[in-house]
Amino acid sequence: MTQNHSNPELLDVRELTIALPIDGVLTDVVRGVDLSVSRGEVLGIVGESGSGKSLTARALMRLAPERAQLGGAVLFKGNDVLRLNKAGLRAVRSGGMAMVYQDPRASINPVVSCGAQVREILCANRGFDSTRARVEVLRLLELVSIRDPERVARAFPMELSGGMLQRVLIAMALASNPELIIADEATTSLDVTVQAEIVAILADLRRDQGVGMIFITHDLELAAVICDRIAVMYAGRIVEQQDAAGLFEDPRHPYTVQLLAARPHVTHRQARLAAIPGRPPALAALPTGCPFHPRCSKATELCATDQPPVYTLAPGAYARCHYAVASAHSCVATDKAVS
Amino acid sequence: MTSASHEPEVLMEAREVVKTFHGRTGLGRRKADVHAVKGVSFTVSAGTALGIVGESGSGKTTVARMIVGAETPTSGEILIAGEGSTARHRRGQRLRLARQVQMVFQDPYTSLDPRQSPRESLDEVQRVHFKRSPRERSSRGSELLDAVGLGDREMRVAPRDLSGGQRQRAAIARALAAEPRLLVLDEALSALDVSVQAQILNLLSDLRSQFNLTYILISHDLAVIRQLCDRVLVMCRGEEMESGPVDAVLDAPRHPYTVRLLESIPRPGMSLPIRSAELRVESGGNAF
Repeated sequence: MTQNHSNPELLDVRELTIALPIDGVLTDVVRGVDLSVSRGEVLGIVGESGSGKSLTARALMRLAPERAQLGGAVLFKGNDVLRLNKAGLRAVRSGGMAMVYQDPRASINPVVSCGAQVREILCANRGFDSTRARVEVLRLLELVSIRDPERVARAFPMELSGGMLQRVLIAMALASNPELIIADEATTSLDVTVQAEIVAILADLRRDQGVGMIFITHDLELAAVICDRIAVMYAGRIVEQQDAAGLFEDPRHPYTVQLLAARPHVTHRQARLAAIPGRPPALAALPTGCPFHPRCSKATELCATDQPPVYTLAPGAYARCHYAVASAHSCVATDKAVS
Repeated sequence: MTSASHEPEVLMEAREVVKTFHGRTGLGRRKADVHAVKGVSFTVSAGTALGIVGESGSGKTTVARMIVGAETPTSGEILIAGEGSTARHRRGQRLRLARQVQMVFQDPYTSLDPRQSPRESLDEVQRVHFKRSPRERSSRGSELLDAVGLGDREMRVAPRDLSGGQRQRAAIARALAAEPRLLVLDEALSALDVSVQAQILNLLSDLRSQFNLTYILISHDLAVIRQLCDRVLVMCRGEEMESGPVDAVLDAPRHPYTVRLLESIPRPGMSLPIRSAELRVESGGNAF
């Protein structure tokens, strides 16, 4: 693959749009998403169900549903994945990017031993012979903190717990020696103690192997643990992107602010949770103006009529809100919000 | 801090409850018995909320299922309003229990009849439990759906046309229609988005004071337990690790397992476990 040296990013997504037929009408469900990931960087994509985060992730490997219409560009090392031919696409999927899904049991073959499934990838994608592959399987299983790799390699998926299986799936993702791992809610179905271990494994892979990563989750706190930068999605759009610390200390989009405020805290009980009223809009019937305005605590008449522009907060940090220039916290304090 | 100011009536009591699922023999292999719950005792006073927290395999859902009568304890007993729950085979007994205890399940997508609108579903529950005229049923149904925040349109449509949060509201209204004293919520908030989860948590605290309800909330989410519960029971592998007032247990946990649960909650700046972290014990070769 030719490397485009003017572009240092591993992944550069420009104006990605995805349209799906909903009730027979082609509807934009992802609307102009820009993303970038460098080597060794972890980008978080956070959003509630229906925000378009998983569909975006699938589109990066061209795994979106067949009836979806994709627009924009997904530049992986300078080549547009959306326009690759079959061979090029196969190269990207078998060595460039790898995906780890939410439910390990649904994404593994139940009737083949775990070791054989990792081995298959090594032989098919990287030309290992079966003897070398056997050794490499054990190394990969060890890499994901499996203490007894021989037993796990022999085991069938049903014999392993969810956490152990998710480790096997991460080992499978690593088997193709990817430069970018896309983890789509990869720890959501796991217990918190196991989740912490899996996140630690992913963080190590980034540090030790320089793997770039896209970490998709609905859990802002979890994203803050592992991500360098976080993009918040709402109604098919990135509404705010900042480095992880900035997003927590000074969130600029009211959706981010309200999302952070709505979470119950383990340290103390709140008299009443600051719930976000209403529900995410149907993508087929988006409100005019800012799609968040009907639920926003700071919305004004302007928000109901005009689409908010993108406000750059710092290099690589922006928010899509009419009032993003001022710090969101101070706005809440000073503005008499129209509710 | 809402524990009853009058004499605390014990609404539900578990005495040394054990549940063992017997290993099935199949394909010539005999599987070991699964000891899901290994002797758990606790009481829940009327008007309070107990949180049962634990990870998968802790037995917390089995405890919930025994409370509502969906499983029978292998030994020990569960008393609801002083009445034992050992054999509830007769319809009359089941109906009596249903008037005391109702359950809300995790998945609002599978716990509602797909062909019934919330309004019809509430009507059915009332037909079973009460002698009411259609008019009375309808007005009571509207009251309940209004209490959980479902509008006129949502009352009349099939569950598939409702969002996850709306379905969970419908499931809560349906549970309340039997006018139970105890509501068992089994991971009822886990599948919901953050913004909707906050709405339902607020709703549950409102309903609690409005209907003087008692809750047992099964959850893996300690923040949710802190928000809604007075007491908490921490379970691991079918056993009680510790229990006590929520604030005491979460502020000063005494059991190492509780400490580990608290430390594993993701938060900005948390230190990740060391890679050689103790791997989860796997019962050799067997899935559980």
